Amino acid sequence: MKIWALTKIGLKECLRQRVVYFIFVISLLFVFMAKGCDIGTVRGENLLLGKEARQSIALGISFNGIVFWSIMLCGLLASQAITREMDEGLASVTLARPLSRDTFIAGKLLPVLIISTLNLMILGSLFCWFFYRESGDITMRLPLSFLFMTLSLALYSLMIGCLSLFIPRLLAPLAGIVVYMLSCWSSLPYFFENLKLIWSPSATVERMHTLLPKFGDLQCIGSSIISGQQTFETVNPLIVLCNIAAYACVFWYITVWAFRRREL
Amino acid sequence: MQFAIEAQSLVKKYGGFVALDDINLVINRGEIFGFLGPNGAGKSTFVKIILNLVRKTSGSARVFGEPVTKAQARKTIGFLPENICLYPFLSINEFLHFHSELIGISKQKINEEITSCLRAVALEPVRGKKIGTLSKGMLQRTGIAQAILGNPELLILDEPTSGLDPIGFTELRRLLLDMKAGGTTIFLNSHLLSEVERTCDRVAILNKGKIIKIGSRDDLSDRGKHLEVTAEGFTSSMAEAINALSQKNFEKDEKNFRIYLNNENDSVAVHRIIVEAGGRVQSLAWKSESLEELFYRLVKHEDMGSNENRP
Repeated sequence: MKIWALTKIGLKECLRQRVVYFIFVISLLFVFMAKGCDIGTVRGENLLLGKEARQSIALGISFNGIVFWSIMLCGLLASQAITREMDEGLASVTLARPLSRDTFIAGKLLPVLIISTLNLMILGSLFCWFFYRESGDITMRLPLSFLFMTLSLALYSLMIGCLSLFIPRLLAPLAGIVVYMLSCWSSLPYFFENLKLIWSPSATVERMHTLLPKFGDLQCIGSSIISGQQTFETVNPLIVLCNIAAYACVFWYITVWAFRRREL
Repeated sequence: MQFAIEAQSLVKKYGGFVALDDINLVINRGEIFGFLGPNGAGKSTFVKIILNLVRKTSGSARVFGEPVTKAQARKTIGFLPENICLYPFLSINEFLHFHSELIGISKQKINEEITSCLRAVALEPVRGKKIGTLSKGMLQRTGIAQAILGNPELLILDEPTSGLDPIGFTELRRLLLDMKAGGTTIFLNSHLLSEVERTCDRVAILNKGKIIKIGSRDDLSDRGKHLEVTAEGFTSSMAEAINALSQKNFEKDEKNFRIYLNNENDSVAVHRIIVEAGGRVQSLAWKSESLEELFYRLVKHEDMGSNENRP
């Protein structure tokens, strides 16, 4: 009940922020770009790509665009969720109640996850609808891939919430996006068959791919699902899920530990 | 007996700065306790330790027997911070609803509880108003309403009169006395000494992180009881004779003298000493030191003492 009380206030607070609407509009542009689910004429190796292949590219671009902007939104909201309450003195009134600091953190990060997931779901549904209009067919691949990305949002909100307690809150989303991009970049050679032919990852890239939170793998798996390509031969989704769960626990415990030590 | 607040050898350091230095304090159930001190004395730090917003360096602090680090200890506390910050986008009603849920008031009772608190601070007619549009006084009343939600056993108020008009002062005093009659312990952290003097049963004066005086309101004013004499033609021989009758040397301010006599009957002797030595007594009266005078004297004395000790 206490978490829900905090979440309700957090949702109202999030929805007051202009950045939510700004990012929603930008993401909407990506959906409309893929309205026809066709990007035009594509030539590769003197071969004109067929409609299905072109559709697949359009799907990939739009999917990744929507996910990227949802991640941005999640980061911007998460960076303020805890620290702004502390800076403005609101946290001291709330925490004077019989409320543990863990509950407070959960109640502040949950609305961030809800809003960014909602953003992803609304845009995803619109995207599915356009796809249906174009192809006359709806496949479960689309909602499944978007659903998969909520894991990314959950981990990202925890990571940014954690970072915001250690670095200035405006820098936290920036640092987060660097980690996200590095993770995506280090995942590329493991997912794309054509890339595998020309790119053998160095030891550093391999190490990064192993050690960083697997945001990139999640996004690539999402892309693979949406485009109907199986990539599970090269990447074990179970390992990806374990990595996400382990990092979520680590970020949660560090956030709780740091916030318990904070003086308000 | 369980005390409302119990602090033993409480120390709080910020790096090399000692904000609270070996505080031993017990606040009884059902009393109104005034906590006084100049800015930076450590009053708010003490309150924040009690609410677990700040961690102690050493010592112990308990609320109704529970260590302050347990969330359970705050179940019975209502708190009004100094310079209260509230969510500007919520209405007064929504804000109180939110706090009711945090306290754990049952859904059926929330509306009844909110209405009763809003009535107590005269905000019931504007319960739907957004907090961002409230005046400073109304904001303070909203803060008081959230502090008294759920009828707390311990009410901690940090500068509660800030922003209130004289009517607000009077209503707040009445509210505190009513709550005290209902068994609530009230911890009042205030600069408004006259208010503290009128309302509190016991008072502690804190300076530079140390409690320099603690006692009941009557105790503190009795200790400051003195004979105030206005006289002309004062000589050093008179001073010696008067000091012989006093607990300590008298204090002189132009023609006014403050004499702390051992015995109240000696006032006649003081009059005789002055007149026999050729002086002229213009007035002679017993006075008690107000809390404000006591506060000023003690804090000033402490500050002078520490200045003297400086290398």
